[in-house]
Amino acid sequence: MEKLKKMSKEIFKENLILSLKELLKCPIEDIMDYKFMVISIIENGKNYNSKDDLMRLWGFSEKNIAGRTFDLENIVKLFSGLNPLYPMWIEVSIYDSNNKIVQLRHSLRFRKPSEIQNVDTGHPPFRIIE
Amino acid sequence: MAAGADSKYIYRGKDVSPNLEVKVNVVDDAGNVVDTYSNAAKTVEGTRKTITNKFPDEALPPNGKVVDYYIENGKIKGINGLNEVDFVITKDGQLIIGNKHHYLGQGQDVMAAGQLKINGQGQIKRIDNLPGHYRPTVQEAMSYEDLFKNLDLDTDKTWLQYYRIEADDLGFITQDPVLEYSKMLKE
Repeated sequence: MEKLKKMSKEIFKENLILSLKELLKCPIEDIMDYKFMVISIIENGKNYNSKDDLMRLWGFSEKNIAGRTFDLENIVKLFSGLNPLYPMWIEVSIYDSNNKIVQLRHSLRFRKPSEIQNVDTGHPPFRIIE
Repeated sequence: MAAGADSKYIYRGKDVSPNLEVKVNVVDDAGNVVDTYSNAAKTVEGTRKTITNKFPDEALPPNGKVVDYYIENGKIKGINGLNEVDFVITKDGQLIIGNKHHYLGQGQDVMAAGQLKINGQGQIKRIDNLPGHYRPTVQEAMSYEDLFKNLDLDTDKTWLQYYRIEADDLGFITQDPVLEYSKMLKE
């Protein structure tokens, strides 16, 4: 399995936009109108370290994300709290096309680039769910 | 477990050294001394505030683990090559290392919490302030340097790296953790 060598806030943003282009099939100007809602997934049987705890309890606490939507800049900022550690995977899907809301379901395991999944999509850690 | 004459044995964070006294005054927000902890002998005295566990009611994590160690010539020994560990310093001045701060502190308030990076010789290379349950402020972390020195640990060339995490009035995180304080300690 191919391993990712580098991740940064800029690469994360670029890959998010690439995944949105693939999902939404629209020009980048329209992508900027979309908002994002976040669903954090705790995976049974997986090990979580204290950095994962930090993100779970603060940035991705229910209080911080439930019922809330973020614009592109803020969603990148939210996920980049431990840059270059990012969620091992993020599933991208359309939540509400009329109101232009995209759903991001993500792993709460924040890991170094070499452990990030979905490298084969060309825009890790994102994977499109249609 | 073998150790030299200068060694200090610690079992599950319990300091049995006869050579060190840590006397700590715990103060409230108004600066009144509300409690004092001491373990006698060579005195290092100071005034400290405890760092509260912000999620004391959360269940202790099943993968929490305390790592046994001992200190030899200021180095952390007996940890089988571990190079990154969580730590807390309890209110009675004991350094407990392992996995998961909430477990290490048993849900209680502590004097310090963060992560240690340790090299193969047991020398502490970095101390930070990034535990989720305690989230010490940079100001609170400023006491770490003294707390570690009081434990007879060699902190020469140890980096202190303290981050600030900002939240708004509603508790929403407003920006990434910012490295606000970075300093290499020297003897």
